[in-house]
Amino acid sequence: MSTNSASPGGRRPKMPATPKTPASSSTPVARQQRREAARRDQRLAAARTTAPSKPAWQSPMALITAGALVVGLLVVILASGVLNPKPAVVGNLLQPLQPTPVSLIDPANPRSLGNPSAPVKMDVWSDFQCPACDDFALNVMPQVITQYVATGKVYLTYRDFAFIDSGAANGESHQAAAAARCAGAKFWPFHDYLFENQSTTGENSGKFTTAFLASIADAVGADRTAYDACMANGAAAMVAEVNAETTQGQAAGIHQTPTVALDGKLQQGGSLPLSTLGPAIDALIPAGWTPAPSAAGTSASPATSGSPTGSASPAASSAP
Amino acid sequence: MARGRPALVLGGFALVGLAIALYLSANELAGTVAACLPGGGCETVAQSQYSHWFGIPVAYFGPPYSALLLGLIVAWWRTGDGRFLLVGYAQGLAGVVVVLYLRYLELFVIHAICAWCVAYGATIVFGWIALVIVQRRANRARAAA
Repeated sequence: MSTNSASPGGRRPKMPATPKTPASSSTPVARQQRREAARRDQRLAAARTTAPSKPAWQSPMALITAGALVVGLLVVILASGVLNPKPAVVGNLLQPLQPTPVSLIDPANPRSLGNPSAPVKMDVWSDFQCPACDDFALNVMPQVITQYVATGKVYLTYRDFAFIDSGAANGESHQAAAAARCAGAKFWPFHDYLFENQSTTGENSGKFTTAFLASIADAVGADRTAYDACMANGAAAMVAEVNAETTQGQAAGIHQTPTVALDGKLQQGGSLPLSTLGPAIDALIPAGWTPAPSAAGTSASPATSGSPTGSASPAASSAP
Repeated sequence: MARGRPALVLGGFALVGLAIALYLSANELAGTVAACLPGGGCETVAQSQYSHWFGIPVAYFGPPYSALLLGLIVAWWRTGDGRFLLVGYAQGLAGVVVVLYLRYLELFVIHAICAWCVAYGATIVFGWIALVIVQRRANRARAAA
């Protein structure tokens, strides 16, 4: 037993040694302070030993930490888009989420949509490897098609501006553009597949191989005999057309993709949102214009976006 | 516990973060063109699908985040109320989670590093670590009092 502990004889426990001064050692105030200090120590000791301690995970700090982590993860989950609708995967291909309505394809020019006599002519200059073009094709064009092409206001034409493969005839920009042309009447379904399946690891990464492009041709139901014949020997004829159109774009002043031209006038800004593009289109529609009752090549029904129909004639794609 | 110096450190992180966030937002406002340019330029566009959250450029989330954090630190400095630090701790932790996600995107998905974004993320992470240290010291000082 420690000598400092209470002795059996009922003696008071020894207090901590304090310097004895005439003023502090024996005054009532000092004694009272010591007593209060001793009581406080006893209360604290009792609280430590008797108070039911909550588990650590129930402490406010732990709950706040968990809450903050949940909020952070929630932001990440919402931002990552994992809750967004995902395109279905068939084989090695993602199916387009918003396929272009085949009923809007101009039979006279498979790379155009809508009524040729629409009041506004819209050209979309694009490269199938361009991520900004991908953004425009997947997010803006479906809105343009629904609101302007299907309603007969806009005649939309896809234009090749293939430059991301640095002009190489066997490069991915050129081969993808040539393959889309070789799909003939299935150009737009092919277009949709190309953008939906664009490489996520950068340009010229080897995604658009001959075999991959052929798998798209099969997916869209293109005439494989005509397609293969068109793609033979590096699709030289179609590559020449792609190059010619790219040169035409350069001459028109295009220096980036996508570039939208409305009635031939270039709209600067790349992948323009509909909030910018819409008013620009509206401004070109003559006052009092009403759609023709029956527009050739246009059923004005975006709902009819089922399986594409029409002959796959590569020759038909030569007209710009 | 004296709050002057800790508040200065925490405020410094928040202020630097706010400056970077404002710079990034100003760049966004100036109109970074979502387009591919000959001779390169697609790298930045490749981030396009991740550069917008709920239709809003990610850069725009920075200034309010940093301003709120700065406000909490100033409020703690002025009042000494530990609840401000607690809210700052929670906000900072949520920010750290988001910063880690963005760095993951840069390194493993986009394959491009945005130096300004990394700098901003660093102010959030190190600011939060500093806040945790300050908070622990404040708690200890309160317990000893």
